[in-house]
Amino acid sequence: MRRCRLGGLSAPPRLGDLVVAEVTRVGAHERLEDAHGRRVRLHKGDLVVGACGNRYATDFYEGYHRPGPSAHLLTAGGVIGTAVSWHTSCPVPTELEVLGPLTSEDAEPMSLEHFARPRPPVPPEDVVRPNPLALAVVGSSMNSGKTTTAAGLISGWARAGLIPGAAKVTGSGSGKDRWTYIDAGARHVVDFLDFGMSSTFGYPTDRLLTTMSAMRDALLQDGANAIVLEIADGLLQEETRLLVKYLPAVCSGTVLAVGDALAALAGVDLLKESGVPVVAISGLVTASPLAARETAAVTGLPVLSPATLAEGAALDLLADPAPHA
Amino acid sequence: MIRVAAYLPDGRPGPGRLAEVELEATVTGPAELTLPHLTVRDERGGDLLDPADTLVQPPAAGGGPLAGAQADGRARAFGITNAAYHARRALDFAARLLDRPLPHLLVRIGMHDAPKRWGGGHYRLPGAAMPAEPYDVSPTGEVHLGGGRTFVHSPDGCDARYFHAPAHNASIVYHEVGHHICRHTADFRVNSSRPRGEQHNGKVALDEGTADFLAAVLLGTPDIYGWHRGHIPQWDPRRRRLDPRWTMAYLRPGNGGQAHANGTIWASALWSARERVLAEGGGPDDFGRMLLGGLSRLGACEGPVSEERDRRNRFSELLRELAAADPALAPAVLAAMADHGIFPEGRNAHLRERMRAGSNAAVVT
Repeated sequence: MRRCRLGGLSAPPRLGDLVVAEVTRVGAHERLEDAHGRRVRLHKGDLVVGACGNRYATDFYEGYHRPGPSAHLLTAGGVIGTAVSWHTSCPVPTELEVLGPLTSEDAEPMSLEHFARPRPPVPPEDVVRPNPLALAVVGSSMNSGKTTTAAGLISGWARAGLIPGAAKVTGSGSGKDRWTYIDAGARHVVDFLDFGMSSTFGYPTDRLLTTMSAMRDALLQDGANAIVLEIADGLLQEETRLLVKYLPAVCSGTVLAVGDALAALAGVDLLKESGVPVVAISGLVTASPLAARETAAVTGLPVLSPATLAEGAALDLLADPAPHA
Repeated sequence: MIRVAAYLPDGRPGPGRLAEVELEATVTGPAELTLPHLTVRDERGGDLLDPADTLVQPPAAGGGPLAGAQADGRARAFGITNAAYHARRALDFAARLLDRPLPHLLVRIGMHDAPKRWGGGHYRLPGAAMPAEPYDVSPTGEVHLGGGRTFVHSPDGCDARYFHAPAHNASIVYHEVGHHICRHTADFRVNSSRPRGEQHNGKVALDEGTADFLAAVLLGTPDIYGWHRGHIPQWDPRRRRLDPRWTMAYLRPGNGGQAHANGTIWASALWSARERVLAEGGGPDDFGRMLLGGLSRLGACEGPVSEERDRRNRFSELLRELAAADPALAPAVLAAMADHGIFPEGRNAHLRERMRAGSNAAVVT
């Protein structure tokens, strides 16, 4: 068993570093996930461990890692930073007092980087591997239905007898999406936490790109034979926008999750500019048959609800994958 | 006569043994075979059958959306010939035992496959159905098979996957043709007394069970669905394996989707009765002839529709008709049926209560 302790503040913590903090005021996040994923109710005076990070969430917080004694709990997963703006419907954040770094037995500050899984080995260039069955899910915005869409794909593949793997490529550390993937039938799941990042907002694009490929390869190595890669936030978010340009290198197509037909039209255009094949539209828009018909009419693409994906349509989206770059 | 490929039943879990067979059939369309009293057609289009070329197509691991167009085309062509072979075999079996051919049957493959996928089959008559039928349904009956939605283990035992296209699975074809046999014998829903376009497409337990039993006889195994349901334990009702353990104590009341599970009780009792008849020196067709005779007798009465529907839903009524169809076999059959809690008198609920009252707790779960 690894023994940890509260260390002294010798240098400012960096992104991904683990710190010990005391809850000074319970706000929006009344609960924090424990090591098993259970959401534990917080009380003033509780000591918690979190990871320093940023958050980009248009429906929640905009927050940044700012070393100092005062901080906010940015996610229920334990991302600690300072919220600088938030959605009008969102309560004030839970306030923390950072007491110091979490250190190892040899008094070294601990970071998520220490828990990152090794990147899968790159196969020799002369080894020809079949293109893996992989799709990406991107969305027009936060809460457009990306994770529900990914769950629909996973469920459809699992019911078809495939071995689904799921990757949360970007976002802010929280167990919610991981559990959603597993509940839908994913046999293997990875996210950016497994690769040493508390949240991806603010990390260099090169790191995110190599991690996206590593996630897909890790899932293949684990035994998955149908993979979904979910990219957080909307297509206009800076890192998402950069990542989607590289999607053709890691997957055969993209499912776009949107809330309405206009977002679908704009999203398809953006993806086409990036050379990304869009195989279907899904997400919140499918809750309305009328909006779904409108979307199908303006995009010419199949509009498939998560339930329809789960009932078999997900399998057809894997058909005839385009050659990978 | 044409030469085609089909899986031949070998009594083992799996699709059977791949073989070339002769079929009295004509290619009547790019994806259609016509046989006496039978037409088999893939409704998804494409030039699948070329009479100028070989009609012996490989199963291509079931084809499917991940197989590529060429392999999927071959698998669909095989699906037509395989379904035609097994439908022909089932219809011939019934005609031989009934001494008359059944009315024409149309088998449509690749139905109800978009945007969702469908991996099953159903039997349809003209009338309300869920999901709605995209075509006019033949008044004499149609079997619809989905295009498939699941991978199963390859029959060669390796780790390779096989796309489970229902047309490749004789058990599904036999079961659905079994409904056609029921429609034109027992007619459990009294459809012959209903308007031509308002046929009832629901199935009662006796219908499902009889169809499962006929499939078991034609396959030569009580583990009818051992290929595509091989991952389900044999004790699980969803496996629908015919077994002495399934008695009237397990009958689930109500009409809500329990027909298959309740039908397994009837099918298991029929299988036990057939085993008893064979053990006592009966011929391989004796019990089948008795069953079809009983089905025909059940459907021969012309009382009011509501009364007939009720009567034809009772296990005891059909058992009585079986006994009357072949009095010589009746003692053996009645004894085997009694082991399953089925007696020639009493409503289904009464039979259930009687069996439960006489069962120990380990049986009634």
